[in-house]
Amino acid sequence: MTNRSESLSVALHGMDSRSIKTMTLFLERLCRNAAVVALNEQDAQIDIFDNDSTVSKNLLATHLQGVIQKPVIVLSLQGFEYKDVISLAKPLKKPDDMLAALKQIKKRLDKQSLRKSGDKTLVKPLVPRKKEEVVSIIEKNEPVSLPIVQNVTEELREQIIEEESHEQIIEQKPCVQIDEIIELESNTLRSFVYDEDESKKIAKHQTAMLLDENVFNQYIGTVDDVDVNDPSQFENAHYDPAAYYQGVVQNAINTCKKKNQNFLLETHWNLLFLKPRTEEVLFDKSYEELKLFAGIRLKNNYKKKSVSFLLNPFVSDTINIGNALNRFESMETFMWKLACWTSMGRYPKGIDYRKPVYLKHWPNFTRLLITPHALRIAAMLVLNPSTMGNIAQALKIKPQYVFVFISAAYAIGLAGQGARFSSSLVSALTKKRSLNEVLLLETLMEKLHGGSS
Amino acid sequence: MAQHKIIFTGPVGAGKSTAIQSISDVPVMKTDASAKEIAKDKGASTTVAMDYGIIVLDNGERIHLYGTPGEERFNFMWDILLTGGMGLILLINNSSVDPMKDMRFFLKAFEKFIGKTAIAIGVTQMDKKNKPTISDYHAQFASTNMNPPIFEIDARVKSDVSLLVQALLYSLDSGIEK
Repeated sequence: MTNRSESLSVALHGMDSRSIKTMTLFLERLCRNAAVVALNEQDAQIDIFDNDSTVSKNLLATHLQGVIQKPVIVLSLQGFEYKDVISLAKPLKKPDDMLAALKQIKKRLDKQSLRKSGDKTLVKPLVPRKKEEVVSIIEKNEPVSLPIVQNVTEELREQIIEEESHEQIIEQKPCVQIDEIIELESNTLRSFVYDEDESKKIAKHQTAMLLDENVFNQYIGTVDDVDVNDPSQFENAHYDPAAYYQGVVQNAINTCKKKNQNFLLETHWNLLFLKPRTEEVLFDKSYEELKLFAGIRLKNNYKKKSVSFLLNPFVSDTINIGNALNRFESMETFMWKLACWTSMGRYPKGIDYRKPVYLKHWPNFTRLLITPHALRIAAMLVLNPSTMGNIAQALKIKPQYVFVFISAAYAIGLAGQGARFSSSLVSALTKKRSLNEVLLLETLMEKLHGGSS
Repeated sequence: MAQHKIIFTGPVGAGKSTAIQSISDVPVMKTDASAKEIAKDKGASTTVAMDYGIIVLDNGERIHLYGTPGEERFNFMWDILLTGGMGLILLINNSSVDPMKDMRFFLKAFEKFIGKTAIAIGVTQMDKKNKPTISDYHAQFASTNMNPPIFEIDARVKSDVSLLVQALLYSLDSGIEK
């Protein structure tokens, strides 16, 4: 086995999390650490691209158009020919091809270091080629999704399963470190068509989803380390939106609105398209995945695993969104939902649970995820600012329902706190009504509630 | 026995008839006329008198749903319809020439009734025209002491109309327990 200090370092591009994991283990186990995956792309000596998905094709096209300063290995199903680029056929059946490629690169790098020319580039830079030329080479391959590595050994398979089970733990006990959001000033090439006019024709109407108490915990999630419904633990029942994907998205939204320009926020796992002019976003994965990702605490140092976020401007006619036009949704709807899944029944750090909270106006509930008692909370708060504990008490509901509502309303700028409000206990808006009237309203509400879900 | 009513109002083409149809438990009684002669470009038909639907509760009680006439020349009927009303649903067509003006007109026209009860506003046709936004509508109330629920709705969608009515009822009394 290669001594790790002698290993080459590689950066993996255009791969999903499972492919990254597989490649990491492939290099570690089958290639015996001939190369290891670099924590930071900048530190890598070699760039490895998967060329069989649309996103990775775009990444590779962009890369090859620039000055190439590091050796490039392309993994491709149908072969890939490009000057000075090493192509390996997928799926990688044995480590031999990869080892041979790494050996070849190592020789080149050794020669470079012997020259000590002072030139920082590790290999002779390739002359950039024309965009059309690069795209035509890359688009020879149709986007497909096949495993990068085939014939995974039993040992490797077990390792992957073990890693994946560990990942579940990571999701529950979040432990990845967030890197700075890297905002690229240059327009990264995304080669396909997004038609703004066509987008307007697509109905994006999504009716609100109404959650009742029975499904709340299952759908929103809960935290283990604090009982958010115990007033003596309110002090610790908060979360910091900035430490989660919610904060990253919020920053990205602020940036794109400030610049009034379309942006793309990407991680290894997902892409989020942001369109400030229409105040819409498109998340390229399922809501189930968003929910899982939302719950991962990103800012935490005890396990050094980094998540990089790239925020790129993009021009609207060069983004590939395939048939996803109907998946655009309003930024408000997305942020509201993201905040609910991040909150998991906690309140956001910017809110002091001892002080009254105000609600600027009613949320546009027909387009939002409606958490239990959200309408009642809104009705009460638009009239009188109150502490979250008081609201729960007045409406006789669990504090977690107030916390999650405030988290969502705070995320879209509807809820806030001001020192001018008293913190005295307010009661729910109740007029003196006859028993018949009360019964009538309750029966009507029950009927409507049943009909709106 | 007291009559319990919810009143739907708004300009021609805002979707009052459709909204009532969405939540009524019985086929809606309509008194429509061809739009040709009275409201060109407002759809195939419009309500010249009123719409009427019913929500039948589990205990047998009935909530009557009345849609006011869209045409101003039938305004004399409004006072009659409002008697015994629990609250007002105002529907505004966002794709009309001046939806804000429409809203102000109806708020003024029903000022007394709203003062005694409550109002919820549904903005329709936002998929055709997304400006003004819901925030723009809320901004109209900044200098008033009103802060009503304002939702984007599709009058054909039962859950949209139902949520609007629920918001109206919670505005009347947030203590209602479902």
